[in-house]
Amino acid sequence: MRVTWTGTDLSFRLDPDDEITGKASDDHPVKLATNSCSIGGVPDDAHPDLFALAAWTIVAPWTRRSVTFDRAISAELAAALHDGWGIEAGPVGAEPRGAGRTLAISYSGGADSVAAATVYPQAPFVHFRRVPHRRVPNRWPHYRSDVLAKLAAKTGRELNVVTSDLEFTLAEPRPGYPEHHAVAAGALLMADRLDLGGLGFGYELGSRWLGGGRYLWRYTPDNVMWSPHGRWGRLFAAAGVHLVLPVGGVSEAVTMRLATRSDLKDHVRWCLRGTDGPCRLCGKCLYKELIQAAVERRPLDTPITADRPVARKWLRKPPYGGQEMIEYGLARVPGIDKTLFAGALDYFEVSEESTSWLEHCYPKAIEEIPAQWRDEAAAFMAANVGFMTEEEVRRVETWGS
Amino acid sequence: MMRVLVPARLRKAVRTWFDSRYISIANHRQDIRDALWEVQTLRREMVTLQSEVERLRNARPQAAPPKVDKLDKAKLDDTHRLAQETAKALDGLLQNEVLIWQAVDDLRARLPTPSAAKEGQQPCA
Repeated sequence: MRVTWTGTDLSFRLDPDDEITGKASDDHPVKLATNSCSIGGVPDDAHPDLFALAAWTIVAPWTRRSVTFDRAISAELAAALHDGWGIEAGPVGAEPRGAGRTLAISYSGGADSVAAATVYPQAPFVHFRRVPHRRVPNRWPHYRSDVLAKLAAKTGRELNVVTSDLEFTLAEPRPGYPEHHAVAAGALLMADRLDLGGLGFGYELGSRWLGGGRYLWRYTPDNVMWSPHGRWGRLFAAAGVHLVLPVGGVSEAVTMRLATRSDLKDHVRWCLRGTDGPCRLCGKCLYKELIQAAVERRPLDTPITADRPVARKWLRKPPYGGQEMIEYGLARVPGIDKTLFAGALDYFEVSEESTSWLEHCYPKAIEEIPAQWRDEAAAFMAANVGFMTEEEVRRVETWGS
Repeated sequence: MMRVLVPARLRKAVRTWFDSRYISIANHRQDIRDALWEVQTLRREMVTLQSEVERLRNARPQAAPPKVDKLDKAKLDDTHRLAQETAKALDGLLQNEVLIWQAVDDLRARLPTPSAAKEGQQPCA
């Protein structure tokens, strides 16, 4: 793979042994759509390691053997690429970038990133906004990134909006981040301006520790994507921007509670489609409604019926994505046996007691936050959530076994 | 119990005074009848409103599709088909472009005269 930045426009070319169909870090097959994209709202004078890392979050799935950047990177970054991926990276010759003092939040506006933001009330936001690609037809105009950007602007926090079409480099399964870390590409290019030493994401207990996302269904202490000692964690650290998961120790029930009771509650939006509010009709709205109903202990309020295509996956057998939250909802939503989730009840023995571990914070998630930001998160969790007992910790660590 | 003889006129005056302070049974009956009538009227209004809501709810989806005559519809369908096919074809074109550059670079690397210095200055796409 050869990578060229022209200003903040990225283009890349495949080496002979690279292929158009590659694999993301979670082993999901991804197909390349086109070999260019651009990032807006960012300076063009970032440290070479930041340019290299930003590019790597985009080209990693399609790189087999080596990556050649258009400017020299530090030996530390090259070593992290080699150790993590077995990839030869160069040219080498730059001084490493030292970590800055600021922690910023990669803010999408969903419940999880709002919760992460409430842990650090002083942290500035970096918001990624999708824009169309000049060469790829946009067949997804229902994705209302403009609405989300407007909501982010109303939060009153220091906000940096980066615009990018990088999601259109992905043809299959659909446009999106080639690697989950590509959401940080713009934030990385801003890292010198913001004096960043860490970037906080809304990834919660399920994504970090329970193999969530594109589903592994087991305890994942060495999560390759989000653990600080995983290959991505070490690569980000080498560029002086540590991965920080402020809500990595709590479930989506807790992030929902924190977000909907926070100062930012009026600006929370997990739906990508709605304009005046969540659309209530997409799969994500249904999933989040189950969690919200469970947290508020009220019946499910959704117009979605069992015959809708978005409901299909909940009518099948488990495992489900975010299964721990399905169990939590099944145990707590009044009248759940009269909803489309009724069928799922047959597969689980759930009760409030058996799911109460999802209401507390897993302590190891706080321990892995870099020292300069750890105490603030620990104090927040102690005051607002409470830590898991040993028995509850065991529930996390035996998940899926 | 002690009984006291009260003159009839006084007794009547006291009774009249008491009666004037309370509503008569006849008036009570009328009040109840009025209230009942009121409730029944409201119930009828509720039924009318409910059927109106139902009518509007049913009417909306039917009113939604605007009138498109046959020719327009054929044209719209054709445009939609063409847009879909063009977008799909462009996907293939963009991917082929990447593959062609890959082949070009591979060939260039095999040429006896290396042009690496020049190549480095060109953007990749």
